[in-house]
Amino acid sequence: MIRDIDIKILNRLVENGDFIPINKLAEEFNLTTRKVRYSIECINFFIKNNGLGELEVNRKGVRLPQDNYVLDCLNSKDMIYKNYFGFSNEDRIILYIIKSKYPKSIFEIANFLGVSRGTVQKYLNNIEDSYGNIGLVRKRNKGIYILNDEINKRKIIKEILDKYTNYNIQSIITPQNVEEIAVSYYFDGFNIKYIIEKIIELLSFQKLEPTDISLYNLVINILISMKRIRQGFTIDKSNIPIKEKSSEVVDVMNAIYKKHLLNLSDDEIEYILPYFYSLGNFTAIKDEKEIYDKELYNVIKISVEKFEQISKLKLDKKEEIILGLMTHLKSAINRMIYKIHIKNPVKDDILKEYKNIYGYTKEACRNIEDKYNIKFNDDELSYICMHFGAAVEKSREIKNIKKRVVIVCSSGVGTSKLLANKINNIFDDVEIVDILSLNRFYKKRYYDVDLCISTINMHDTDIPTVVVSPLLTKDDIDRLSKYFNIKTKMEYNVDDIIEIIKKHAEIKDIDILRKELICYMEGQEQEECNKKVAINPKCISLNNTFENAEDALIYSANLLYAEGYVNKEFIEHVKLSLNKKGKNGPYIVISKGIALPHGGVLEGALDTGFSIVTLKKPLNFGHKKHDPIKIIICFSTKDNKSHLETLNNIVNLVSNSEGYKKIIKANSVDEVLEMLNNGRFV
Amino acid sequence: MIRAVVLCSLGLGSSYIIETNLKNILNQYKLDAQVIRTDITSAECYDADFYVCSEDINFRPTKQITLIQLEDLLDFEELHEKVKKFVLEKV
Repeated sequence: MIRDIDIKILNRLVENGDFIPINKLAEEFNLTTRKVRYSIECINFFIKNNGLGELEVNRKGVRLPQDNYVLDCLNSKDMIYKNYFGFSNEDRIILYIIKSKYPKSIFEIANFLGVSRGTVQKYLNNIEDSYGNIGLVRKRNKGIYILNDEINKRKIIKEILDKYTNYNIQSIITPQNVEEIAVSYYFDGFNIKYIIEKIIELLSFQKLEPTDISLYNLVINILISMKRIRQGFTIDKSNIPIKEKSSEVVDVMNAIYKKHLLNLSDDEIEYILPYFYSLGNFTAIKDEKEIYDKELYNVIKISVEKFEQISKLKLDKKEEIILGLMTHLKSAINRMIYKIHIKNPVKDDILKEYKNIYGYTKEACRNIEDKYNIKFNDDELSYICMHFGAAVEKSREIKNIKKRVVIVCSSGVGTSKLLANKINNIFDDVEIVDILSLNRFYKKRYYDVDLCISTINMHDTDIPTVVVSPLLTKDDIDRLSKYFNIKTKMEYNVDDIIEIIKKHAEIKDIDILRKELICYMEGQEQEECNKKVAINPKCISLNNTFENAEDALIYSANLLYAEGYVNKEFIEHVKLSLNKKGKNGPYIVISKGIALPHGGVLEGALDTGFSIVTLKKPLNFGHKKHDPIKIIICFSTKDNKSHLETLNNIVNLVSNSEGYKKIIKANSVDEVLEMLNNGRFV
Repeated sequence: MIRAVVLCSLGLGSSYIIETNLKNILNQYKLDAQVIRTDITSAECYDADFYVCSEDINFRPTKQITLIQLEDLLDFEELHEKVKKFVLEKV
């Protein structure tokens, strides 16, 4: 007999349509090849018996021949229909016992499934575990049955079917896989197309545009109702009072049931009507409808505004959101009034992913609930949440369309990186695609970018270009703001943040923290805050004696290394700079008696720092004009600006002949610092 | 407008010293001037009226450009003399 695993394998064969190697099947389903072969035998037996031909088995593997033909056959076989083929064995048991007027014995069920009685017991345990309280009764002598009223039984059936259809109405009309075939075959003999056409005809006459899910809900419930009537069950009194019966709806229902030769009782009409009403308002009076729509529109508008207010999110295209919600809520409100519960298959994901928006939605929907005297459950709220979530994402998306930009500068390093960072900090919708030197830009020629930002004048290029200063002046920003949106600054209260920090950490200096926070939030560069890099006293060393120039240079770099301003590479760089000579000597010798070795990040700088070394015994650096050297000023810089202010100070000091003399003669570090900081050296 | 490019090996140290002095000089003559500080490799990417650098830097421009070379970077007067010559021609 056919087992679950056989169905799975058959499903796989139908899906694939080509040869599948047996060992691959075994791997896929975690079986031994022997078991797969046995399964193939079972499938073969099953489809042969049903006149569906035979599986092709050869060296290439297994194949189900002419899958379309077989699909059609699987579609039309009475045998499959009777056996609820395609449903899981647990579901098959439920469907089997729910259609029976009498309790079924274990033996009967075992026969129906083609499994042992022990296995049936196992399945029944599974049902109790996974379905919860559906009223399954297992009595030793009486047998197995479901003790529940008709409405709940129909709900159980719907719950099972929902699993196979994925709430998609198309899946019953044009089934694509064995699971959907199972459902469409559950409703064998009903003209589903006719039913849907009839309903849509009515809806378009009423000018209603229901959501897919509510249409699915209506159709599947009508089908279940008809199926149950055919199985000989009628509805008990519906417990939700219906205010008015729309004659148009009743007419359509009569037509549908009559077409299928089924008797439509008043109770059945009352049972189905709410599902129609959940699609919208069926009323003949046009004015009433308009009033209702207008009211609903206003209520939703308030909710949307409330949502914005609570969430502090700005929604774009509000009108669109309101209209979308209106279509949805027309059904949802009626569903709540008639206590129709629909499941949201993605509810859990929404609760997880959009927790905040869900909370806002719940709050924002309060006035709708009050107005119509209803209470949305989690499923409904998560549907509404989807509308809001989509709106939020959309609003974000619009902002997120970034303009592609290429930055061109002379060398393609250093300045341009800084420029890139700055642009990224200031503008919101910029995507920097590449940073290029002019040469490489011309070589590459073709670029899929919206704008080129360049620090150099460029000739003959088709891309719109804005030439800016590498430091991006205010004027530059103004010009660029025509192309991009300036980042909106978040409004934070510095003191609040400090309070939070206080709770978790000890604050060394509250004033500096506040200052830095303000700087950070206003998007200023750090160097604006501490414009002047203080000279570390430990990096000042006076009246030294060295054997040669190299030792002196290494010493000056080592001072920075010891304080963590640079890494070892930097020392090497400084050492080698002695060899980089020009016409007169090493380029680091900048003036009489002064050497200025230095480096940036590429040379191994970690931070911006200065060291000053004065020499007791002047050394020759090999410079024709400026030897001997008496002062070495070594510095590292993390960018190309942070050192400038301090460098300026030092240069001012040493370029003045009085200052130069004084610094050579200085005996204490404090003296030097005093001169540097106050500029008093004369 | 006068455009000047000052350059040194890295564009960090010496060029900055020249830049500050040059700006002072150009201000003295109340000239509308732009001074660009850069490193040796990218200097030629800028169009400028003249270039300023140290004598000890191996800057060999491929273009025909006015180049002011300085012996002593800290010597304000040297720069002044050399720039004056050029600037006065221009003015």
